Amino acid sequence: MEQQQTLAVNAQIELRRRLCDRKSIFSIFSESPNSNHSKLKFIVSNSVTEGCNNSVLLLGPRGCGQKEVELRAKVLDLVIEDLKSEHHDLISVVKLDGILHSDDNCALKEIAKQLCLENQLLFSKMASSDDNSQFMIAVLREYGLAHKTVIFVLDEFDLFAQGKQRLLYSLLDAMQSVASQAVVIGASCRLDADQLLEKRVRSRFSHRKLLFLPPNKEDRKRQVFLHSLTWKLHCFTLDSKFPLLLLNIFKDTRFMEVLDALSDYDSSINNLLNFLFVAVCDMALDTGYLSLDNFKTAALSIQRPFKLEIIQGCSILELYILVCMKRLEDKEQNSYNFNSVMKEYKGIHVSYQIPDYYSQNVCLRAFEHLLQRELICFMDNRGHSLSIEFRPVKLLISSYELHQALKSNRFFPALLHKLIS
Amino acid sequence: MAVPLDDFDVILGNDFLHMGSIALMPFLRGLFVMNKSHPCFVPAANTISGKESTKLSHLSALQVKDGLRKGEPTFLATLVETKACKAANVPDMVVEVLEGFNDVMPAELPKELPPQRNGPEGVGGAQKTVARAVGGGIHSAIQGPIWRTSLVRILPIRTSKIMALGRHGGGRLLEPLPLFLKHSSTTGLSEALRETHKGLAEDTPHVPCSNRAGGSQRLSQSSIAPQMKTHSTDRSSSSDGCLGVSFFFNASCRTCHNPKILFESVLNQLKFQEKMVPKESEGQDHKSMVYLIFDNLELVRDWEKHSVIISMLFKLYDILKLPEVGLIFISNASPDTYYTNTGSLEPLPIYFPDYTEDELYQIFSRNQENPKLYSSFLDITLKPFCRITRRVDELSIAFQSLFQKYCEPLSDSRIVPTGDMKRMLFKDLNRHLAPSLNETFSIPSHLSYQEEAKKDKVRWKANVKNSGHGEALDDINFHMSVSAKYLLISAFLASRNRATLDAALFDSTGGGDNRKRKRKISEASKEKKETAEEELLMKGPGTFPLERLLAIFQCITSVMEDSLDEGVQESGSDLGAEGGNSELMSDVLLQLSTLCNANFISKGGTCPLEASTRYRSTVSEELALKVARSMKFPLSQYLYQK
Repeated sequence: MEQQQTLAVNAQIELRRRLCDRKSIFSIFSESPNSNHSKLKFIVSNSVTEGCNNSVLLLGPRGCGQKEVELRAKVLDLVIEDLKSEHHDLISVVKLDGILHSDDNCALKEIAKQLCLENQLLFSKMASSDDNSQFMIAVLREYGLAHKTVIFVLDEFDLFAQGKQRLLYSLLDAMQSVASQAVVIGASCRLDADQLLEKRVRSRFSHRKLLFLPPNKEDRKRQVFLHSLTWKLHCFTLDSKFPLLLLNIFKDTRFMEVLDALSDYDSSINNLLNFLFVAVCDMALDTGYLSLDNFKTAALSIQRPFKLEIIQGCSILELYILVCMKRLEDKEQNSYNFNSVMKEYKGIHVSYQIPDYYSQNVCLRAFEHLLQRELICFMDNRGHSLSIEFRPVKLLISSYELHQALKSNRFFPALLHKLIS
Repeated sequence: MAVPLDDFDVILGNDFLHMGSIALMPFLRGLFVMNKSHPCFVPAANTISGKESTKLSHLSALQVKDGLRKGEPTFLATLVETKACKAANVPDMVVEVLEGFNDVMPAELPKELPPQRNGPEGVGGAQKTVARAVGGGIHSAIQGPIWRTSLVRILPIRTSKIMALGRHGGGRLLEPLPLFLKHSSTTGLSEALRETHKGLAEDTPHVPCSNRAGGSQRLSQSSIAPQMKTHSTDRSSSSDGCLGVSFFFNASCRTCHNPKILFESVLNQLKFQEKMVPKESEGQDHKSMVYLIFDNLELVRDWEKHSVIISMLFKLYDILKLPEVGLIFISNASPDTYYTNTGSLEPLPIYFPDYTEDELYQIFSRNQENPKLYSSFLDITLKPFCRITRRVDELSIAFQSLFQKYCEPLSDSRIVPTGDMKRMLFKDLNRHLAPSLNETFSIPSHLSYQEEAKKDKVRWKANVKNSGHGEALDDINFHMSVSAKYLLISAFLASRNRATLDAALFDSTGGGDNRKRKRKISEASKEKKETAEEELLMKGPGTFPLERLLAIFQCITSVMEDSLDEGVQESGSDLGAEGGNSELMSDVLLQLSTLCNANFISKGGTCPLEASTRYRSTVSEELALKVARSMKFPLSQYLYQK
């Protein structure tokens, strides 16, 4: 029994490790010949072998929680690794991140630092940004002479396009004027990233764009899914039933329903992997099997209706205030504050004789709670000198959410529901 | 000039020379101890040249500092006479050091100094034991059973959540994904974390988040990540042999006001830990975990450039690319309120919901002296209070005073209530219940408790007869001077009435009684009135300049003086109110500032035309009426729209 438990723990650890190691999961995408992966690889290897400059933009949309950019970055990593293994010393990579190096001086410094590291040179912290940019150009020239390629990876490319774009200009300009071999790869989740560029930068940029879209084929995702979970499953010594059982679950239509619901909400692979991660974490350790329930609860915890849960945590008085605000909105009163809510509340009390009728300061406290919960907020940032009860507010929840929340708890008074319908 | 410390057998500080009354005698090659009890001469020998040297070698404090900076091994030695119940004097600075490391020294000092540079036996060994203690305390932090059971004991209601936290959070050998903990206030999460930190603080010297403004090291965003990376890798590579040690670094966004301070505090903690726990040599399979906890994340949204900071925080997982580093974000707001425009990995959400009524019942009935009595009390009170608020802090404040009232009729607080008694107590409490539901806080009166209780009873009898419903008390329960009261009333009037009406209300004689208002009620005026009402609700009380306030103040005080005079004359007493007016006027500006401080009157923005400060009265109508009643001032006569 104990042995089985340790086995289960080991299995869990192994699965978690595998799910966290996203690089290997994304490597599946390199297999298909028509993918972005191979296109990118072609571009980069072209400039390595032919000795020319190039620049590419990798764009991936980011809708509500879709993280395809992640995929993009991973593909990039994969490509670079592949190329490095092919051409050993001929490639050096400089990686910049828009979040960290959006400042031009800072970015130049980082470039100089990474180039120094690459070539075992001593990096001086004291160097000015002029020195650094000269150093960069010199290195590019040397690389050109030695037929080596530098790959500049600019993550969060749109952030580099803020301000004067000095870095982008000097980088692209150096590439044009110096006989060098360099590739600039920008990655961004803004689809209009190339439109942000200034004219002088844009004219130097070769307009190659690779678009990364979330995979829409259900079977392909399932392939990733099965791959990640069952991949080399035989290598650890758990009950041999384990992979078999999983396959059975995967074939189950109920499981597919859960999966479909999940991908309706967010069809990115990362979301899927997060879902799997939670499911594996919830694995029953005494048996060591993943059950369908694990997946169901994981799906629930991944796509939480946060607003609904917050409303469910409200007290009755807070709900009354929300309902009053909803009623005011239904009356098409375009702006209202605590006092008008109180008037409405009093009106309700007069007509229905509700048991939950409290004094103004108690209501004000409940009102403040609602503000803290971010179910309501002030209309504007002006009027800080005014006290809370006079500042106009607005609801941050839809009437559907309010209805749902009121319905979901049977302890909530039925009157509330009646008041807003 | 740097002097290698190997040249010295012992280094004597100035303080030592002071205390021992020692004189250096270089020409005699020795020290002269002029202590009263044991005067003696200590000859010194130079060991380097092998023969007696011509002079003593000295080492200045600067040289020591230099050596320390360069990381040369340095040892601090003090001579302490070891006698029981005798305290030795050490300089203040040393005390701090000693206290900080009081568990570092082994009970038995090693016979010889450790070999130079490598060799973790001596002091290093002691540090290792510290590290092991730290590890033992928190190694199991998230995954391990010790921490979890203790936490479950503290927060029994949250068991399932803690388990989830443990499962997702990783622990040794497990790779964590970033977690996002969403909680509403007082849901036990902060307690959970505080407990972890208590555990930390017991085992290791506490690491405060230092908020030094001008740190020696300037941090820009670009330098943070690599530093964090190096420190975290250092941290995780130096693990204890037998335990998977977990380290927690907490950064509360509440104490740090900008990203620089936030990251500095994280880095400082990392560095401190690094100093505390020596690097271990290679050859260990166990990884140790580093957890970076970012508390109060919702406050970051108010910072400058918040979108970049938040996306960076969320992206830390990708930037660091270290499986040993766990990130935990704690926030009051749900994750969908954080908008990042970067391709970062979305953290796994764990939601700590509000307590339900049953959970509250369990929480409040814990640790009570008389659980039966308290549970009977809770049976009555919890339900109505839960309808108002479900926050533990507010409920506990309300329950505290109510429970006192509940116990009042009982002689013995350890009594176990029977059915009859419960009913009696319930009846007793019931009259307190409605008013306490309707108040957010109570001001303790200056009257003694019993007296107040008596008064309460009388009043309550009257009240129960009159209305049967909790009504606000008639008198204001804090002291205010007469002129302040007048000022409050006049400010209230100035805020409520329009400036154009002032002339009609207060004519030159100040009489408010002889005005006549004729109003025709037409449809148009009705509508007007409605919109005006609406406006009052929306915009709140109007603003007024200081001059208007003073004018109204003068008018109403003069009216009151007149009426007072009449009253005095009628009653026939000779209490003159001569000069009362000027008395009241004398410190009116002082009173005004007092009222402003008490938030009865707020200073509004300046009027662009007049360029003078405008005021606004923020008191409610009830309070104004109360004050007026206490002054016997006919406020309602002066209010338009009444």
